[in-house]
Amino acid sequence: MSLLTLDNLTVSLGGRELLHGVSLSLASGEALALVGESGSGKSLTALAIAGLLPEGAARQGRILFQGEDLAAAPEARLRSLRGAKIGFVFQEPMTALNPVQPVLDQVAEVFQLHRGLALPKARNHAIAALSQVELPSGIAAGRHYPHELSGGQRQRVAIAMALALNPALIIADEPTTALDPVTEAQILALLTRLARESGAGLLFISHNLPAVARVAGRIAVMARGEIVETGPVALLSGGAARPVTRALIAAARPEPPPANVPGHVRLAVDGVSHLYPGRRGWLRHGVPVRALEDVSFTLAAGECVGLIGESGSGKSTLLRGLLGLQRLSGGDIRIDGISLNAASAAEWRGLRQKLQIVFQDPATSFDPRWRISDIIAEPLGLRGQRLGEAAIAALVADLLAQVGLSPSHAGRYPHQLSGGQRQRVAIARALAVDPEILVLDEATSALDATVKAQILALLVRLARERRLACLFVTHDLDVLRAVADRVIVLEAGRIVEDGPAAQVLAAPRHAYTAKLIAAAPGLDAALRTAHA
Amino acid sequence: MTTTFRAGAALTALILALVLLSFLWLPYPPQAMDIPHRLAAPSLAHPFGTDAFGRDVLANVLAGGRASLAVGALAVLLGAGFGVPLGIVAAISGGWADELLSRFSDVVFAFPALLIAVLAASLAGPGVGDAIAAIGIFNIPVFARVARAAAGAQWQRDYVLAAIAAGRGRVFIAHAHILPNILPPLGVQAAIQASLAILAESGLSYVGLGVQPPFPSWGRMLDDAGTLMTAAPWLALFPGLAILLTSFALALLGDGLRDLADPRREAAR
Repeated sequence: MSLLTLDNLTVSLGGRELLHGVSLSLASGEALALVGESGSGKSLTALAIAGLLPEGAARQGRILFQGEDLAAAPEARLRSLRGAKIGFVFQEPMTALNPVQPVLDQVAEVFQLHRGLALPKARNHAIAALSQVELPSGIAAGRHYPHELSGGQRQRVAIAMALALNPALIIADEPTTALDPVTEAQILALLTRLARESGAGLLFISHNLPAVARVAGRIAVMARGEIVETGPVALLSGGAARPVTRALIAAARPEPPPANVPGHVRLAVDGVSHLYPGRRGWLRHGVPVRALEDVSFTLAAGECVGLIGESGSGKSTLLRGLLGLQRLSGGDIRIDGISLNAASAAEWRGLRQKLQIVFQDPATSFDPRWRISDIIAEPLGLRGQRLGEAAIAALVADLLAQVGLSPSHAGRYPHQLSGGQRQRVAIARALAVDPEILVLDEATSALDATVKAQILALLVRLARERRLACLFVTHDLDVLRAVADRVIVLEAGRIVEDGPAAQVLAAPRHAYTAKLIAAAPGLDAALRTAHA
Repeated sequence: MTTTFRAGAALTALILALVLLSFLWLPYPPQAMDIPHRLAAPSLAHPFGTDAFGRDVLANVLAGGRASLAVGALAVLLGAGFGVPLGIVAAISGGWADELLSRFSDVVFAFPALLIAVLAASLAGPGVGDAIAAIGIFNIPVFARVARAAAGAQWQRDYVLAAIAAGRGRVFIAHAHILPNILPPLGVQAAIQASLAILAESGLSYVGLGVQPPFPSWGRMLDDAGTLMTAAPWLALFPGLAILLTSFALALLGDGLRDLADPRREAAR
């Protein structure tokens, strides 16, 4: 018998129909992945199952859970099911946990609420639940607060809460999007193992196909509020019929960039080291923290270099050094032969024109009160000559066209654009002063797989056409597979590997690089291991 | 446009209009005494009644609004004019400048506003200028703190880094990027502080340190009404109502501004 059946589920909000007759079924012990771009209706489907639709949403159709129609059930019944029979794991574990309550008590609360246990007894159960998710025993038993845990540990706590009462159905909504690849691989393995052991049905919502390939047995592809295709996960390795599915697969299978001959060196990082003085108080001396140690590399015209490293590896310090926001304590950086250490204020203007940056979060990288045209035109002052209004407007229109936007976007505000469109604007702004070096700081990590693939293709094309030297700072190996000619691996402030992308990604020499690549194997490798 | 904002804006506009009207027309000259009709209850001839000297209360409430509103507006301008730049500078430079501002704020906050006003008045003699200065000085750290917190949050944003990469200096970034983005919380604070300033002026006048006779203000009218509260309650009622309504209007306006400034308001509707 099917554990969960959606029968022609329709949801509308404010007069607009957002889900159009969604039907699917999930059996106990099965893992079904709901796949699609953002806005396709995946999360809305999950919220509908949980009875957590936003206020004012109208729902039609049936949601059968163990033979009971949840769509007709009263709120009190739903409340007793949520947490007990249906467990949820959300995307951002920091906001899913209460910051002022120890995690142990938050897990214990599940037992207090649903089993009516007193706190001491509930805590014992909670300790057992936390050790289930492979948290170190010190954390399981101690009174740790969410901010004292890492992102991966917090997600483990969220999983422990969701699975505490052995629910029959687990709904995981993008549970690893906020995590780095190594942690992501661990969490996926944990979730799969626990679901399999408890015999629960797992509804896994994601736009990340390699993750889907590792977790799910069956997939349902959503687009524009409809399920367009369902089938075994092997559909992802070939045999997908619908263009939507094929586009998702193509986006997850990056093509290496066309071969390329680098020009002369634009950026030379020469023996750069940096020590942070450490946090000092009135009475204590700080312990210095070494962020970078003897880092040297070069970046040539027309070359795309990927810089990978986990958080804390010194990437941000290096970027701040490149922008001149941080005076580095040792070594030098030269842009076109001009030393940043020795540059005068006048030379800095020229340097800023040569090096531009695209930031990670398209939501915060623009002044929300400026129009797109003004945002793109902001760096134009670096060009050294004053431009008239008409010339600026023409330039902005030309830049918008180059990044695949229409001139009509010039008059809009950032919040009126989608994430992908905003990232295109960020690229247009960086290109406005005709830079020689473009630094991309996790520039695609906030984007969907398909949009990411489009932006990366755009960047490779622009880099080749304009002979730009591009530095991609990222921890997303798919980005490197799609764009990088060369890969540099940074670990604890040191370069541990530097070589051609094909070589580093296929046969890493350093243990850290190998671990990263094993954690993010790419779609085809993930499918092979999942079915082996 | 939320209902709160509309109601606040309409009420504030009405009060402003009535006070401006007082410059053009008043039912009686505010200082004209009419001893035979002293302490008359509200009637058609004197809708708000008359006081102990037979002066018309309606005329005095209208004319007294000038002083009260002027004190509210000027005290906020003084506080924001100094406090906002200080707060932004503290947020951007950090370090000792920030530390200095915070400690200065702590010191000012340690003295109640009324105490400062009493001090100023006793040094320079009572008058409306001292009331404005005292209330305004107290407002400086209030605005500085709000501006510092809001500017600090904006300064962390990537668009500030982008502006630096675009070759902009700190001064440009502060006025072209930071200031417009922190206006909403400052507007909310201004509405709150203006209503507090009107109340503070009333308090100062009530103890005889604000607006001096024969010029009326709402606080002074309350002060004069004190001894006659049982004989002629309308003397206290109408200026009291005027203070209440103005504070209420400004508080509504502040709340409405906060709702308007919330960037998610369009998504929520």
